[in-house]
Amino acid sequence: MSLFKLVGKRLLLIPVSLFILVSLSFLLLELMPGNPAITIAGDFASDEEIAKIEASLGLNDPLGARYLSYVGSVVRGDLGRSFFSNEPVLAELSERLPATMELVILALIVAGIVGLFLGVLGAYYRGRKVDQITRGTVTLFQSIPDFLMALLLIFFLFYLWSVAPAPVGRLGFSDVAVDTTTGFLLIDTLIAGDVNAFFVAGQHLFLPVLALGIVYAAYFGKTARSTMAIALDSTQVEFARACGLPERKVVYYAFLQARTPILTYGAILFGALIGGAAIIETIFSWPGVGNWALSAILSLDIPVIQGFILAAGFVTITLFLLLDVLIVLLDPRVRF
Amino acid sequence: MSTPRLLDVRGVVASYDSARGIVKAVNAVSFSADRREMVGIVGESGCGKSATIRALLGLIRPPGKVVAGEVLLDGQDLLKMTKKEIRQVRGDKIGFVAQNPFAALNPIYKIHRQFHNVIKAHEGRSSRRSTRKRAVEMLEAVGIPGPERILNGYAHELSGGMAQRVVIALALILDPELIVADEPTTALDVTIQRQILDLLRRKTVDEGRSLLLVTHDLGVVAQYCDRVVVMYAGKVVETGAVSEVFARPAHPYTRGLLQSVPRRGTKVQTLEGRVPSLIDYPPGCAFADRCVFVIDRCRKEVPELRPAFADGGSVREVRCHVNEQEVCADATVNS
Repeated sequence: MSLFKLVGKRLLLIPVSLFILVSLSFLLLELMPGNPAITIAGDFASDEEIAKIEASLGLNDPLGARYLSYVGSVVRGDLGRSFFSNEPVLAELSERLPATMELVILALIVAGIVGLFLGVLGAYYRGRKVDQITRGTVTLFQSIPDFLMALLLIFFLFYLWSVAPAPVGRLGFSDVAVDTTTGFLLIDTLIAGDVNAFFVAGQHLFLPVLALGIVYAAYFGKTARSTMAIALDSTQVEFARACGLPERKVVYYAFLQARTPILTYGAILFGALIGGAAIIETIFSWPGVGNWALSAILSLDIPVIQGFILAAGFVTITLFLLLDVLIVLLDPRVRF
Repeated sequence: MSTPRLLDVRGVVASYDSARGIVKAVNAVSFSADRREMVGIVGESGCGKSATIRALLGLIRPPGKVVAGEVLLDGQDLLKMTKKEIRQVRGDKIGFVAQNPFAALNPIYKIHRQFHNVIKAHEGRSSRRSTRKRAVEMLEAVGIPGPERILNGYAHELSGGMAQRVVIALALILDPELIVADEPTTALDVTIQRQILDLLRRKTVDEGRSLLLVTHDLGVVAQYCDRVVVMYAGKVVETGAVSEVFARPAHPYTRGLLQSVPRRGTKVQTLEGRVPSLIDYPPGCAFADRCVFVIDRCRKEVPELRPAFADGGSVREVRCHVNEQEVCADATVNS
């Protein structure tokens, strides 16, 4: 079977997976306690007011009817409107998802580079001083919660030393936004040819990316150290060394073996961070999907929650498809 | 003994720091190899035969280290070399043949790239065309039909015998003087074993190299090797020409090994007991507890390697307090 066929087959499976995801999440949200109408109307609303809101949201319709109408509109590309802001969910999603993706992609690149560096060094000098230092660093990174890391970075780099801008979102208050094309500010500013805005966007990304990057570097560091330690002990590496290959080449041979599990781990982290960066987004006033979904969950804003689940599911499924393709391309032994 | 030997290993000690203490995996091991000579290194698993060849290739990794001895290759001491110098020796002067070719070959790179990398590591920049030409010639020389196709493929597409030939070709691509083979046929089936050993023998004897063959298969030693080094618990316990050692073993352990080879019509004798822990090394002879010839002296005094069978045709050495005539007297061994 060709790679082309594999991708085609998997692409066809994406709508099926998403349908299952939507149905399951719809039913699970039904089990959530609480009444969104009460949250909207406030604590002092009368019963009539609440009943009116319930009716307008369609909450009184039977479950089956609501499910069918929701699935029907999702198929037509309509994710509904937020119970609270009355904004279309799809429009808000298309603004917020790129903001989160930009943050998470850059953070994982930082985490990958720092983590691999620490992990490979530790594995190579296993049991020696360097290993103790890198392991200590990894443990330190891992034991600092991401919100604390963010606050520390803000305190030092913004408040004390003023090398980073204030945590006020993707751009400063006085900066003019550029036209949205991709939603990724670093790309959009370059498309608009606005170098100044590019640097402003970069500066605002600096601290949240660093905060997430350092914390998640610990995860990469741990995975890299354990997989590299096994690879460096392998017969293949010994044979490469016995053939007289230089050490950096020998380490690279080991990395060729270790990279697949590290990549897989990176993909899993990516999926988790789509919603998992909520606290960092909140601290940096980042207009991403994480804090959006979090507040929707707290206020029972069901269309928003559904929209988020759908988007996160789509991103994760696509990512794993890309990962599988990448693994096939990287390892000639993999059969599919 | 007029010309210096190609390889002279003298008193090599390699130890590992483990949580329970220092393990001397290679304990004052000495042996030598001449050109056109195949030397078998035999012993049970854990006797230090693999550690010995890794010590002479500079492949002992921390927490292990070589703490004493000399490894003279063409008169140059490999153990005194810098990391860079010993790296140049590996592959160039010593070719290494691994036990399991599928574990040894890089699974991600095409075979040609692996040849290319080895040549480049020793000779600097080389064109892909020139390395390909050399790889084709070498693959043909080790009996691989259609080498071009093999070079464009990956290790996992090969059969076991072909993969081991590729490993041998990689080991020989820079024309080393010494081949070190670590159980090169253990992972292969019996019919392929012969072909690989015949190939190694040709490459050694016909082309004037020297071969160290680590194995636990006495049949292989009897058939292919000129001399044998028997190891036990990190030490050499007996050396000598294969024909003589097999006809008249001087060490009770060698005798036990030979008797434990299955033979038609006779009951297989087993060596009772186990190799002692290398951490709590016994005060006397390490083999004393399993030895049928054991005397009081064996438990108190460590035997030294001494000449045996002065009447024999070649130099023989044994590490045993008991007289060798006594040991070989009732040995019902004939090779």
